[in-house]
Amino acid sequence: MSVFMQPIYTQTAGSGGIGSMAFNNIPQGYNDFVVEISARTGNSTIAQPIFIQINGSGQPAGTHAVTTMTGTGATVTSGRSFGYTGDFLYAGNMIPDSSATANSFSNVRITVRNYTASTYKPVEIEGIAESNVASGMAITDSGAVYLNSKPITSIYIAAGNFTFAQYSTFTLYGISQQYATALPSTPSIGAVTDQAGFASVAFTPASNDQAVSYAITTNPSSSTTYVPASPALVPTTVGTSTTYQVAAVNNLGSSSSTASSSITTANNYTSLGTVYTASNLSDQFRFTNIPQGYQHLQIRLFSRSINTGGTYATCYMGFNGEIFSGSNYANHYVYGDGASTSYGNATAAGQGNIPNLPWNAVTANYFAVTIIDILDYSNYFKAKTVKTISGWDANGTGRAQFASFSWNSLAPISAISLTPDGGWGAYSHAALYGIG
Amino acid sequence: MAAQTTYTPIATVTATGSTNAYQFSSIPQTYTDIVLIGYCRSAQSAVNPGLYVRPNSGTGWSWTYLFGNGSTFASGRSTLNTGDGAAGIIIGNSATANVYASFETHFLNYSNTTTYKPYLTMSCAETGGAGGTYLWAATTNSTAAINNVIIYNDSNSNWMVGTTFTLYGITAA
Repeated sequence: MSVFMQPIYTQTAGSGGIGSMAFNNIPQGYNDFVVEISARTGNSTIAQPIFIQINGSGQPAGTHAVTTMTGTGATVTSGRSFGYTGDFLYAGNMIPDSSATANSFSNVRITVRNYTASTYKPVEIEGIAESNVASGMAITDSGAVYLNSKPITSIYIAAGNFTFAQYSTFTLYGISQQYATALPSTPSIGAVTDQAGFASVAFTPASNDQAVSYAITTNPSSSTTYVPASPALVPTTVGTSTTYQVAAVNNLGSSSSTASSSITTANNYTSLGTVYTASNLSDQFRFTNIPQGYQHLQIRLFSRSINTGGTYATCYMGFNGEIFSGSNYANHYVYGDGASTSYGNATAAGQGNIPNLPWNAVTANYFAVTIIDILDYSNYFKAKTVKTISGWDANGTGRAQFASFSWNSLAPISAISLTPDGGWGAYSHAALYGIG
Repeated sequence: MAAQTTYTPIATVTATGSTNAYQFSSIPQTYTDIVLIGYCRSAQSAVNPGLYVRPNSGTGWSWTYLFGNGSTFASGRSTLNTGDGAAGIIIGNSATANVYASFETHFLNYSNTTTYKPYLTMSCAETGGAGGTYLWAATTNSTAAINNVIIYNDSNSNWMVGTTFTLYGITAA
């Protein structure tokens, strides 16, 4: 029986390279999927290992088991890792590095069989890092098992702490062993809605359409997005009138719908919610159920504190229900108070620090301006970094402050709490925005 | 949470080279915040002239700043209507050609008539060997809503061609 191999997504590293590659929202309509990698990285030990993370971080202990066999031209070694407690599967040396002959790239294939099944998933990885030097060749075969019965919806690929070099390519293919007997039936395009930098494209598949996935294309052409079902979330060019078509795809070809009505996305800065208090409030400001469809978050805070316990008032930020617990946060700050400057840090803290607000003894009506940027808040492979600029002036006292903190967690941020020393002064408000 | 797109351009000015001050007046009172974004170079014969951003015709302010220039950092303040009150430094005409400064000023809750109005300016002027970064916090010391903002620089020098100032409105859900 013939095998149908459908390219789903490809990316080539541009100037400066890329730190990692992730395929998310993998269509669930195929039997198997394959990732082909032609890459080079920046370490200096000839061949660099490849690391794979399946279905994001937070996997339970013992998620991966892997056996490797590596030949260098002079030696052969084999190793095994079982019950590995980290999130990453170590798949052996197969990426040429900076000491390899110029222009040498890997040839790596990752194959995952039956990836939508409710059984454990076998993973095959084979690759070479051949660089035409005596000590530089490595040929590695790895067999691994992903010890989880959940369907695989994402795969993340890295080379340790090193960047994949320019011209490295990563391509995801879906493989179907169920050979279609006819072109897929044409789907019907539905409504398209603005999602601030994305468009949500609804469509209706035809009955028994023999499709294995659906491809959404744009006019003007900017991208092709493959999805297993409606609706599709498609990146857009902000401010450009765009139409969308959906095509059903199988091994024999594709059948495209008519074009949607055109839509022009307004911009990529979206107000998500506001918390406000008209009177003094001894409680937190909270944002919950934060949508995950944006690139970054910004909080614009207009506030003062009712703290009476000292000559300052710090605001504390926590993510996903954490606050004043654990040791996941690390803080740094620098400020000027009009007469002097100071700086400091706090590591292994239970909260992020948002710098000083006017406190109760500061004359009424004086408020601080605080702009908080949270980058890449929804990713699951980076710790989160927060940047704050803030200041206030009360005609004789005041602060101008830069601050940052990190949250050492790979979990996407879905909730934020803000807690000032003493509580919020009347008329304080915090507004949350999604960007990109 | 209900989502709505925002960050709406209200007005933009582009310098002609013969004007020393630009004012945004009759600012709509319908937004939650306004943000002023500047990309600018002065005809002043200095490397880093001062930048001045004044709401409501430039009276009643006090301020506190933090400044760093690569070798030192410092903080200072003024009380009500004392001191010159530069909100930062920009690029002057004796700096390397084609180099411009950038700044952003955030006016939060600018249209309310209950509280004083804090505003925060971050400016960056980098010329490759000179320059600095300012963070400048100021207050109007008045409960009046902000309905105009004026921008000028040292010695009322002209803004050079290529300078742009844009005022945006942001609406919170």
